[in-house]
Amino acid sequence: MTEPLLSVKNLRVEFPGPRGPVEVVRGVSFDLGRERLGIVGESGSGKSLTARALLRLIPPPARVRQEALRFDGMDLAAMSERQMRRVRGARISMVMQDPKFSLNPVMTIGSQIAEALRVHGTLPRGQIRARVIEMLTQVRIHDPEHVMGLYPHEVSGGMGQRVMIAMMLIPEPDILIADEPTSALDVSVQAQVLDLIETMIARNGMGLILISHDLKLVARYCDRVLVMYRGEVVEALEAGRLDAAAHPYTRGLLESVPRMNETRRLLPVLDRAWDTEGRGT
Amino acid sequence: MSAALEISGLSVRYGRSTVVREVSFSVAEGESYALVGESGSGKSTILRAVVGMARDISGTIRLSGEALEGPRGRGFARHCQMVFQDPYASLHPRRTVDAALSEPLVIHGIGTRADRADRVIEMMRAVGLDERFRFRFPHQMSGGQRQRVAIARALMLDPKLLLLDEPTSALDVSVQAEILNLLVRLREERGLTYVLVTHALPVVGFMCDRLGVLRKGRMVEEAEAGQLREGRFSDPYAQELYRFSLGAGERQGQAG
Repeated sequence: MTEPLLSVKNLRVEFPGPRGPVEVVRGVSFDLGRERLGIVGESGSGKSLTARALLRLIPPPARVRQEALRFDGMDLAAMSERQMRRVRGARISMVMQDPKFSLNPVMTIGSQIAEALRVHGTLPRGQIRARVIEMLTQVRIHDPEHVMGLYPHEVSGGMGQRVMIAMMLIPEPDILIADEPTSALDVSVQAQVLDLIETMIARNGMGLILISHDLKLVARYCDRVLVMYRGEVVEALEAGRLDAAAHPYTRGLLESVPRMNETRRLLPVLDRAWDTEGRGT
Repeated sequence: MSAALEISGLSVRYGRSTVVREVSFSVAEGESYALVGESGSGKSTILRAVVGMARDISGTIRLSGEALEGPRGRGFARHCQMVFQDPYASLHPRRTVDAALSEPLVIHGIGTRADRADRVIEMMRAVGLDERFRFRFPHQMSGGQRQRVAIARALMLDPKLLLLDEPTSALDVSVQAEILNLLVRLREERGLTYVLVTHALPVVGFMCDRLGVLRKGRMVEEAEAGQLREGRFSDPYAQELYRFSLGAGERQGQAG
């Protein structure tokens, strides 16, 4: 069997707390090929920390441990910070929730995207501009030359997120991690952004990790879904078979969301009785 | 009987830009009405105009038949209250639940200290908060608990009309159901009238009787909740919004 593109085994993240260390990611394992994997969970479930740990973006005092963290034959855990920088962005890149906070507010969009190329690529200077324009066209920005000269505050949230995607995809990474890429956007724009990610992933033959609290949305855009709860993967599902969910948490999550043709008088509330360690809401 | 809230020809300007244009609708007593639209459609601004937080307005706003003008007084606070999207931002970070809930009573000179304590406990029970949270601060509670406090605070003066601005969109889906159920139950128990602002159409289908669809400050269509559930809108933009909402949440089987 060939080695998967990315392999995570027994990933643990802990933070120091007043009463000793608190473990917030508790033994997460998964393999990722050139496929689309969804990670779903509520806030505090450890889904975003898992993603950050893959890129070694969790600073002390947090402690990250793992049995294995391998990417394309390399041991990410053993890499130096310098080697790691050649992976981040170039081989594994990440799109975050709100473009307002992840774009540099004092740099034009064109120069930010070009920077991504200059740092990672070997493209001659003269070709950079053409490549940026091509990339912006690919993310369906109609007037790329105009948009290149704009600052982030001059574009809408949807366009900002498309710019982010362009920037993340321009070095042609192998894996894209999208952490709640659309939760700051309007519904009409959400679908566009997710469709765009889907198309770009398919075109470049990449792997995708899509992180969200919305189980149905993730299922629509992914092949497989991991459901996280309190730092653990409680269930792994085929995206097309959500109805086969067996874990009470996943089932509760599916049931508790209002539907468009809603006729229930009250919504079933997530029953955490199975969670013996208990946690109030 | 006059409507609980009647808005006619309302326009709101922020500086030189007009964000609400000639919007009219009315909400009957005991009804639950939703304003839906995307960001920038003016839906929240309409609520802000009702509570007097938007200054540059024209048109009329009537509350149970009485036209609202100028700064909103104490009578208004007893009649109409608002719940905001993010309870972490709307609750005072250095006041306990007890202080937050007692404050409206103190301002309105209601009851003795002992009466007020009773009412705080009673209200906490009504919104499903355990009494042990009474002396906690907002940061010591979860998002769902904080929103319960915000709802309790809004209900302390026993208002008739509750304005809800995206009350669940800052919460996890797993907690959303609890708050939505709470709002449905409170409306039944207390005969409240709701005006809900949201971008989530399924939430409207669950807890509203009617809705108004806003686009760029104009009301493009009003519909019954039944029409929403079946997706029967006549305005093209309303149809589009409906389709997108299906796409993000539960587009089934088609394409992609």
